[in-house]
Amino acid sequence: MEGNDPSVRPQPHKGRVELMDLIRTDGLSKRYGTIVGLSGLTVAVPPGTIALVGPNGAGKSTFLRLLLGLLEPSAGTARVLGQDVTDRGVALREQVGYMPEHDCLIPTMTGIGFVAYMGRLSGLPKNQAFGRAHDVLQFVGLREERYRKISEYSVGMRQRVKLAQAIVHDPALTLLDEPTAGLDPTGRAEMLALLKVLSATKDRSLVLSTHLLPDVEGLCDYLVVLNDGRLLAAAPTKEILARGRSELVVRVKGDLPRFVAALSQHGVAVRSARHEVRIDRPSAGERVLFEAAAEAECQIRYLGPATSSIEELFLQLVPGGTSGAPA
Amino acid sequence: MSISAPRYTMGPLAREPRWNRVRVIVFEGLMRRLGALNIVLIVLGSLIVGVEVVLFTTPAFVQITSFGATVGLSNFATPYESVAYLLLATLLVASAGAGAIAGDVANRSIALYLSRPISPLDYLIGKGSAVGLVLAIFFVIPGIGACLFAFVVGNVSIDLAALAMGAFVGVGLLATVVFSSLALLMSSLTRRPIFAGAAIFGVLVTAEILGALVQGVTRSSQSLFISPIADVLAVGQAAFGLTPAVNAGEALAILLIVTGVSLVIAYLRVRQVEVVG
Repeated sequence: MEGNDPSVRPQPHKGRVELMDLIRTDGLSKRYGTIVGLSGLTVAVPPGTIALVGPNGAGKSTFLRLLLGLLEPSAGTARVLGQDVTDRGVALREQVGYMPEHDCLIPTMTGIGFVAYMGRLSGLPKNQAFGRAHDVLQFVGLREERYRKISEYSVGMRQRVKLAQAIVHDPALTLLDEPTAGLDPTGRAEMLALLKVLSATKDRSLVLSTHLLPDVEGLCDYLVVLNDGRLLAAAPTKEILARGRSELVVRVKGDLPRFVAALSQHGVAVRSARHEVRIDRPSAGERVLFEAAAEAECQIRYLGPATSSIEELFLQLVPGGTSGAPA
Repeated sequence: MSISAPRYTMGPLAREPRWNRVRVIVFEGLMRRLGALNIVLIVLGSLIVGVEVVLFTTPAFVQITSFGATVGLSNFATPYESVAYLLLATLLVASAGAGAIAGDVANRSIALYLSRPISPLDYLIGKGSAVGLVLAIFFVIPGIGACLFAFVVGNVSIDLAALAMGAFVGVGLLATVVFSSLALLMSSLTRRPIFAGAAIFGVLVTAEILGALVQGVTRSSQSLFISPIADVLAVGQAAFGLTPAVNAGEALAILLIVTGVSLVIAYLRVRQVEVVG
């Protein structure tokens, strides 16, 4: 057995991360010549399932590579699982899994051979690496295809192998760069289902980088929003969505200026009134809206939060978004 | 699809020491490089070494081929005077070394290598050692086998056979290290293995031809120093007791410098690859 091999050194269990920040950066910057990849990022992220969202070129991949210790920061510091990524990069990567965005598999190897090889590179003894490779390939749904060469795999199967190699060494933190990229709707749903199972695993954290915002809704409990290499927001998903819900949208049938005037008389702050009225949620409750509508002889046809999804919120946060000014 | 993510209840997974991860890269790289073409080149090279050594060290043959001379250390130097052997060596370096790094850059698997708990230096050592092992099979093993054969069948004294074996091992390891580092350098400069292979073969052959051409014009053998092949030949011939065309000590110094510079550049390239990729 591997456990009897004196060359095998059991490591203390490092999976428990509740007592510290999962990721903590301070003024983290990365420049590629004159191009700014990441600019002065200061953030503290708790363990859990974290979404790293932003448009293409926002700095998400750069951030992930900095967290892995693959890039050297131009300025600032980053700690992952309590370890400095610059000084302890190699040791840190024993506890971190990485699924890159791009295709990165060795096409001449079989699925099982490749995943076991990656497990061995993560330090697993041969028997354990193959055992884990079988397990994770079954988990991602490639049980039947594991002995086929990767060059024969479809795009969806290759994404699954990428996920399998990222978790083969049972990392405390898995970094996933656009895991649903290139997948059809069915493949995307299946990948998200796998991620949901992983996110529910105790003591294991995921960082999911994506620009597909529907992917993160219902999956991630913390949101980090980047744009142009800068941090726009970092907070629990519920809290960010609640911020958006402090603003209400009202659509009425009738005289809109008269309704707005009635709202003002009731002390309701009106933010905008074009085709629809955007107001701060009244402290006295929504009843005043109906009173104002009755006074203005209008019918309220719609009443709801201004932001109902991360996608809408994102459009508000990102400069140039269609729904309003930057936060 | 199973219901839950695979986890073990028996506790944390064991981790092997870091050098074992390098060993895994070496073994995988060696298996990948022992393809049909490289095996054919190795067999042909072994045949040349075997035939020539037997021909020039078996007393009965030596009487014929060397017009009555006795067997000496210089009789074992024939591989390092053979054009066919050096051509095969150049082809093997190009074939075995081309994909060492360029192959991983081409399919982008280098991102996965570097995302594992290994350093860029570990990666380079692993890849270089895999190429080096293939070249060592070509440069060292046939020489050792031929010396044993000459001792047993050719009636060569144990002292002479041991001396020749030492020369084969020494020069063979030098050639292995020099050509492996050159292959790593070329392979790190491009993301297409075929370009890397063409560059390795082209640089080695061009330097050899250029050195010979300049020597023909200037009547000075100094120009031969620009060719790594000529430098290896010089060291090889000196090791086997022959007088090389250029100073063997200077050739050895040049080879060591070329090796060092190649490895440093290859290392820097590996560190940059992730940024570029």
